[in-house]
Amino acid sequence: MKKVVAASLFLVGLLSASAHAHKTWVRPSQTNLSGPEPWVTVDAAVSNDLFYFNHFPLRLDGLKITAPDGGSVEATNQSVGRYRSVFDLQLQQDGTYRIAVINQGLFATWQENGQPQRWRGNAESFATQVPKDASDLRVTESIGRIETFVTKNAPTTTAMEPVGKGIELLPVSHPNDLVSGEKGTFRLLVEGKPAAGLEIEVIRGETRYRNSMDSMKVTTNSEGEFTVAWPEPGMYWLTTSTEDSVTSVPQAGTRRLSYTVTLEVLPE
Amino acid sequence: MMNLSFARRSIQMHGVVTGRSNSMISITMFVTFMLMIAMPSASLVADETAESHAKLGTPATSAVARDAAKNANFSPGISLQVEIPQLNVSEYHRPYVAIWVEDENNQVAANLTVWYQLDKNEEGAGTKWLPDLRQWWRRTGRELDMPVDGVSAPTKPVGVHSVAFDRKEKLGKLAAGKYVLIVEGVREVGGRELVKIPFDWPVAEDKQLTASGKSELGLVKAVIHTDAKTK
Repeated sequence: MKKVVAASLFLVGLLSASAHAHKTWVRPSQTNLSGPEPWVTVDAAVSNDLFYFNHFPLRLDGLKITAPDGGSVEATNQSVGRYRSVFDLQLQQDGTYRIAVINQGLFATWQENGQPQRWRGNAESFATQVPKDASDLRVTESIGRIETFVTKNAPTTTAMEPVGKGIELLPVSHPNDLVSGEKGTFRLLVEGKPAAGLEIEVIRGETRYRNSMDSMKVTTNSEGEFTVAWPEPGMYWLTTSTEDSVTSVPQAGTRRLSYTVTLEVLPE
Repeated sequence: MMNLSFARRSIQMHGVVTGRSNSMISITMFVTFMLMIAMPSASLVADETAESHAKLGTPATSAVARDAAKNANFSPGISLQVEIPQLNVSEYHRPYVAIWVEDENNQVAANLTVWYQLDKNEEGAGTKWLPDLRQWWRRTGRELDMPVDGVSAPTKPVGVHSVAFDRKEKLGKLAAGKYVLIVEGVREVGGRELVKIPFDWPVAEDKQLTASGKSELGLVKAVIHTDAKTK
């Protein structure tokens, strides 16, 4: 039973960006900060509504925080609760921090003596833990990035240098410089290259207080760029996904790539 | 032998005793000295603060006169009277107020002043709340290393506050054209409001312009001054 729960938890993390019922997100307490070494606290969850905790916490194993100077910093007070995970971050440097939860790996199912088997891991453990002769073997590879940005004083872009893996967001508009009534433009990369034709779903938070998600759809152009006209201030959730065949084991035919970002849009 | 060892012991003891009493005396003297230095300067600072607070309610003309007195070359470019309204609220904090000039492309042409909590208190540094002056923060505040000389100033109480800005020091870089004077106010556990006064620069004659806020800011009276030298 424990295994099944763990596996389904993992699946939620793995596939939620595509499964529209569940939304994964990291949401900072605020995005524009000042003062000597201010603190920001971040919630991370998988939920049906934005941004409420009502389904699963987002596991923090893949948490990676990039500081304005490009170095890595650790989050403090990490905690995984029933519905959400939480961590704190003290902003010791001026500039923009990139806060990401990166989930990547392989997921396999097969039949053994008539019983369904589930497994997750990486390319190395796949070779030793999944039987070579497994019947009805299905392997999925995935790489997902769930992120947000916070800035102390003036925004910078060093932390946003692409790592070249999965889907990533590059600033055209800075993600911590968004104001309602203006437009925000960003570029999406897949494996470090501009990705045309990606569809992005955009939903403003506080969905509990309206009758529809009011989701907007935008698509990247030939330069990989997309533009969102923010209808009103709020925390926005943007998500996109795609597939390719860049897999780490031959048994996995396709790789699923997903990207989710939480952006704060302030009133003018 | 005996004499020698006695002498040595005596020197050692003497040395120890003398050494200790010397350091005792010097610590006492040092503390007294420090107190003597600290006391008068502390009272000077307090006087200065009291004095500057007393000046806040003075009308615009004397604000110009005061700044003129400080700097013989002072020539007003813009002088302002900004009203911070009395509000009937149970928890009141003085607003943070930023005053600046924007050109037609929303670029900051002159960063005139920002009133915020300059000192640390039990809630931390006052700079923590500067991003709440959202538009000022986005246009210029986030680029600045606070405090900024001649821009940073303490928060002000309810009332009408007069400030004058030197045309050369603050507005020297303004090319002829259309501008907007913006006063942004935001109050802890309160609201935020912007008052905008469009104006032309320069002016042939002193021009008085007014605009009023509805919630966080009261009446803002601006005088765009003509250059006294060209008269």
